[in-house]
Amino acid sequence: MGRIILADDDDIIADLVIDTMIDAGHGIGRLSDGASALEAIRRRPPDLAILDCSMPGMTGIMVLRAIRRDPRISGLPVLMLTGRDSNSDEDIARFEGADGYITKPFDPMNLVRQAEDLINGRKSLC
Amino acid sequence: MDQSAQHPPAKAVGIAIAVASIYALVLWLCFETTETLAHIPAVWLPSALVVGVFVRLPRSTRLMSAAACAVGSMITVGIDGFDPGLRHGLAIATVFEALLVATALIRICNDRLVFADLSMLMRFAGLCLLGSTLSGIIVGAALSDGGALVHFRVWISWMVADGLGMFIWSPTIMVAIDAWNNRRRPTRKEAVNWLWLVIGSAAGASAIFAQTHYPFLFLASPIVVIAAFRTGIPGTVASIAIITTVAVIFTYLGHGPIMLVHGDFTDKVIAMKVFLASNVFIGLPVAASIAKLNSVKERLRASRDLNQSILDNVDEIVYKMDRNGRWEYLNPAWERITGYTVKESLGWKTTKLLHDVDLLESSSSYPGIVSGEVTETVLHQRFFTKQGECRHIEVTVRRLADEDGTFAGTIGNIRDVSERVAQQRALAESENRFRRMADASPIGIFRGEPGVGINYVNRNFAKTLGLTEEQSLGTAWLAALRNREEFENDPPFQGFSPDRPIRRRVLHFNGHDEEGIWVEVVNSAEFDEFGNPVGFIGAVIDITEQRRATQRLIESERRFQALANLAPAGIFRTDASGNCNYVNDAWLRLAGLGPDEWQGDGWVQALHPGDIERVAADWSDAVKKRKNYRDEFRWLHTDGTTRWVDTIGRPEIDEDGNIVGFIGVNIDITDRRRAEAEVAERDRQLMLLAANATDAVFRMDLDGRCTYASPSTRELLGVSPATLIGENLLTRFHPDDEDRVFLAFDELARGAAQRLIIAYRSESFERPGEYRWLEANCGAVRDPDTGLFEVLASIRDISKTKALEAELLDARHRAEEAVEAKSAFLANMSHEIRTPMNGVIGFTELLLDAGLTDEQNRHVMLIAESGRAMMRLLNDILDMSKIESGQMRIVNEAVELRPLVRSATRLMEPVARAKNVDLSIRIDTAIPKFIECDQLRLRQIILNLIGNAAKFTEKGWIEVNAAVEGENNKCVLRIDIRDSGVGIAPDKIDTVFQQFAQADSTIARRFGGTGLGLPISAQLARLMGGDITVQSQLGAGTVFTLRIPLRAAVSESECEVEGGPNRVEPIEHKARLRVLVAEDHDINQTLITAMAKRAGMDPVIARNGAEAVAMVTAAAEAGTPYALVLMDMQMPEVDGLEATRRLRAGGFDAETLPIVALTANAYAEDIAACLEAGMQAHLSKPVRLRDLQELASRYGTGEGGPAVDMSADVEPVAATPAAAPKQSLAARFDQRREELIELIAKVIREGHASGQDFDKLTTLLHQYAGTAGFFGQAEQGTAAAALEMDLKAAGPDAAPAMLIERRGDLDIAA
Repeated sequence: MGRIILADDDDIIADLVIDTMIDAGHGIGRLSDGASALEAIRRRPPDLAILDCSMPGMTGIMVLRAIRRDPRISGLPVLMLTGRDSNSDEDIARFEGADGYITKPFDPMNLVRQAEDLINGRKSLC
Repeated sequence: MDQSAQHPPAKAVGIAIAVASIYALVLWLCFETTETLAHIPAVWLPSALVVGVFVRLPRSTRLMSAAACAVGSMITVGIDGFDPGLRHGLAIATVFEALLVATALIRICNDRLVFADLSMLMRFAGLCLLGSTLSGIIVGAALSDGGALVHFRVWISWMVADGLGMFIWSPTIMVAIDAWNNRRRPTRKEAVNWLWLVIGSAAGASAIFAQTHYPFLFLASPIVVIAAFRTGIPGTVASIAIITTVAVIFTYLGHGPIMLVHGDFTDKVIAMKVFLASNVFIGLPVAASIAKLNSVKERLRASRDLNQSILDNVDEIVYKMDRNGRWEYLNPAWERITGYTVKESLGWKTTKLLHDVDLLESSSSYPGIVSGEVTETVLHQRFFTKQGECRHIEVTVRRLADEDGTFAGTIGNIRDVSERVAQQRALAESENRFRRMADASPIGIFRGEPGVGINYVNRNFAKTLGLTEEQSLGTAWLAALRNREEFENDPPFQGFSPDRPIRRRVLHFNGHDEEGIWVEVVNSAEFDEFGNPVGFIGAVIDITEQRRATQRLIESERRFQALANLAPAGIFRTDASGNCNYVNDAWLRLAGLGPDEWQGDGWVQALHPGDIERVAADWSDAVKKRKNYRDEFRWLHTDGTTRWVDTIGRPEIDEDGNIVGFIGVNIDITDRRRAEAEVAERDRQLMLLAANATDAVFRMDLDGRCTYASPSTRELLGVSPATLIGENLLTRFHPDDEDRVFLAFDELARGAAQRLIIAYRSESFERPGEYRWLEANCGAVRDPDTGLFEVLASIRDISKTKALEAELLDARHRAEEAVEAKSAFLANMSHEIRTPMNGVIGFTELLLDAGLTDEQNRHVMLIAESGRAMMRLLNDILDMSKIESGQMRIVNEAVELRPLVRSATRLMEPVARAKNVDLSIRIDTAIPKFIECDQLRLRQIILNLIGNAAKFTEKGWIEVNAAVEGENNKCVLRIDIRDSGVGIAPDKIDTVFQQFAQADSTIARRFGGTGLGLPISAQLARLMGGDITVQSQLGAGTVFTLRIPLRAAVSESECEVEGGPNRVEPIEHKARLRVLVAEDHDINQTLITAMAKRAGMDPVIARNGAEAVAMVTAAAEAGTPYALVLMDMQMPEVDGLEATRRLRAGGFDAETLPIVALTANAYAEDIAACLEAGMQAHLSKPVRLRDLQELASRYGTGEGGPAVDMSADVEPVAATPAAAPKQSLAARFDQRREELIELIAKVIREGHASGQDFDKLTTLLHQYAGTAGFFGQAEQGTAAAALEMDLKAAGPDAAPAMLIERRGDLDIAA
């Protein structure tokens, strides 16, 4: 059982993620843009952040970078949502220190598994 | 000997140079004189010098000196003009001769020319002759003047000059060197002798050679001999040298007897030399012989002195007896031993001092010695000293005989042995005493010897062991040994050492009965000075009786211990000073100590700390005063439990009346103590209760007579307790209550009731006729001791309560009436208001479509909004009044909680997002999927609470958390709505659930609202059997917690199959493929259902493998079989593979029911496993629409299931309540797609894209690209993403053309 913050501008994908995580028994709050997500994370660090890579304004990658540079939250597990076949997103996410990434479209079970691995302290990337 | 070590090279070189220098000088002088003496030197000294020096020189310097001499002669030869031939001849002859003679002399005489040895002197003379003869040939050849080869006369002259020179001078030089080497300071006598020698020799020689008339040459010999007697060899040589010198000088001057020789100069020289040589020949042997005689005399004297000193110092007397039996010689020891002087004793008869007894023995042995029968004997005799003391002597006698064997006396020695004799006598006496003592001893005593065994036993030894003396000696006694094997393993007479001279052992002998004889043997060894045992002495003690007693004691002790351990009481024993030395098992259990912890004063540690001081003091006192001890105290066990014991200790007294210790018992009185403590405590509490109770307490017997009344009776009833004792208490009841009270008492007395409470009216003691309400709490009690029943009653005044009760009843009636009236009024009013309001709202909405100006439109919308607000208020009020009037009914049904919470949350999400408030949800998976509750009211409560939180939270977060509390049948569903909002002040927190009471009146103005939401929610929760609580901190946030009983819905599957009341059957136009989808995950269920429908299938969901098998079987039996099964691989309980196997095993073959796997990971082994289990194909997740369409076309052509309209509107239908909210995802996606299609159509239609349209287009494409994959349109999604990027790159102007070209890729042309 973990507390998750999701940042995704797309309502449909956000609902998909929210429903999936709630069904798996996790608490999840969603922000629709990177800046407010970062603020929410700083205010109360969750157990896991799921960030969409491409959002208008502050993208998920920028949020990730900000998280890793903030000593209070730099250890936060972060799972990135990347576009289909967008290898560059994956590479950047990995470079910026993401703990895992999920390619859209994703199998909800896979999302839950990866998210839980991270919440329980197991790295899923690499 | 290594001479070079004593003569370093420098010294050797020095010696060589000195020798060579002297040699060269002498050679030169001889040459000079030779000149004068016509060719041949009269005296030729160089050879003599070289020989003399060489023989006495150290070996290492000889060769070097020879070489130096050769060099010296060369130099000398070359000095002046003397005839070179002669010079060379002489030099060569000299060196040759000298080396020859010296070498030979050294060989013959072995380095030492001893002048006393005539043969050696002769050999020396011979060598001189030989050397001069040979060298004479050389010299003669050198002087040969053409005649004979060798000049004969020269030869003779040379031999005389050289040979005699050597013979005379070499010894002189040698003796001089020896004298120099052995030089010492002469004694006065020697100095005088030497003075006489020099004077005598010089005077004598001068007397002989000063005249030429008489041939007194022979007078020289006596002078030399006298010198030899007086001064030895050196003096002789010196004397010869002086005479020679004087003779040469006088002869040279033409005086002396030599002149009388008739002949030439050479003849005179020869005569002279012969004279000198004869002096040497006479003087040296005489001197040497005298010297030898002197040295022998010296050695003899030394030997005699040594013998004398030995004889003088020996301890024994050494004697010689003459043939007449008289002392002839006695050494000084005689004087020490006898006290008589030697001088007076010599000549005494040897038997003069003997003891009379020994005289006899002496006279008997004497003839044998005289006759020669005995040559040697030893006698032991006694004699008396001068002081009259009798001493023991040991006399050794050896017979002496003449050459013809006749007795010549005896010699021998006499030793004083008095000490030894005394010691031997003492030893014998000691041995004697030992034997007497041993024989008198009551114990067995023996003596042994290594290797021999026992060599002595006393009488008791044999008696103790039951043996005869013969059987005891040697090793014979071993035969009677019973524990022989044990004995032989540890043999006797071994293992002793000076450090450990004593051994003890126990032996068992046969004896005369079965028990045998047990003995203890103590054995002590004696050692010689090297530490080896030389003997043993030992004692044997019969311990049979002692052993028997010990056995009996052990047996007795064992019996005592067995008995003691059987005893239930703890038993202990101590020594006289109170230290524990025995405890039994029961004692250990009582004290809680381990087997070794009790010893000594170890038991003290087990005492309860509260008792230690007292018990220790009392016990010490008892021990000191030797009196009985009794006390009760506690043992404290390590596990914290305590045992009370009663301990009795009594001194143990031996037969002499001394205390040997204490013995005592410990009795467990824990139970008694506890009972006593409980009784005391109960008494105390009862007294306390009775004394302090405001209620009056009575005890009465079964007839109602009072046996006890508490002090409070006075206050309650106004009479003293004492006056009531013995009175009947069952009186003074109100007539209306009397029967009731008696009946109740009767019940108690009969035992039908144990306890009852009864209220009744009783007449006052103080004011008769006046009644008041009392309440009696009564109980029937059986006294455990007497077995009698009694009744206890506690009575209190309840007049006031009764009065209050009446008032309350009255008030409630009035209130109920009022509320009913209010509710009726409100219901009525709300209906009356609702009707016109419907009109207001309805018409304002109509008005909105009536083409009003914007201003008017806004006003009308305000009216409509106000109307709706009023309606909401009305609804709230109505709800409230319904609740209050009890008309609110809770309808429980199966409700899926997750979608309910989720949809309620989603309604509030826009509000939260607008305020940028993070709204998150968490629903515990432990909550059953379907629960029994009123869906509508629960949703209302949750909405109210979230709405409330959203309203009061300006920034921060809101959390909705659903969880289960409690366990099993007492489960509670708990939903926390937690916010980080303004919070509620502590003093206002109680009012939040009151109607119309927002926590702060200013809040109403700030946040709006009716203030009814929370009260209604609270009431609803209460109606549902739960409650709402609130916790808050001003400025930090608020938590509202809803708790309702959690009941899982009876049958979840029932709900699902029935699909709830909202199920809408799709209108069927055409056959659709009936497909069973086995999938456990909710979202996947939704997605695949939507996609299957789009692909022309009619999907039904099974949530796991078991359910799938059951549903396939049920459908086949019902005649509506499925055409296809889509089977997820990983499902709870029964997975896809297992379900497939079961279906295939159940008779569904691949023809009638194809099964297609849904796999997350399409690894080869997964696919192989699917096929192996009986599946026909597999699809990997996420599933694509195209795949499903292919499946539909592949399996849909067969007889299949019922056909379904393919062109039907594909709006997904809620198959289950669970799917309802998720279906809207698909709908929203479809909506997004439609929007995109429309916008593309619009751009194409208009031929250009406005800035706004272009932005929207790229956004929509982006969103479509991100989500299409979830809905089976991944390829279209990819195409959309590519198109979005290209459009952004190309700009708005290129949009229409690009869209026309590529909209086919998006699959939206159709």
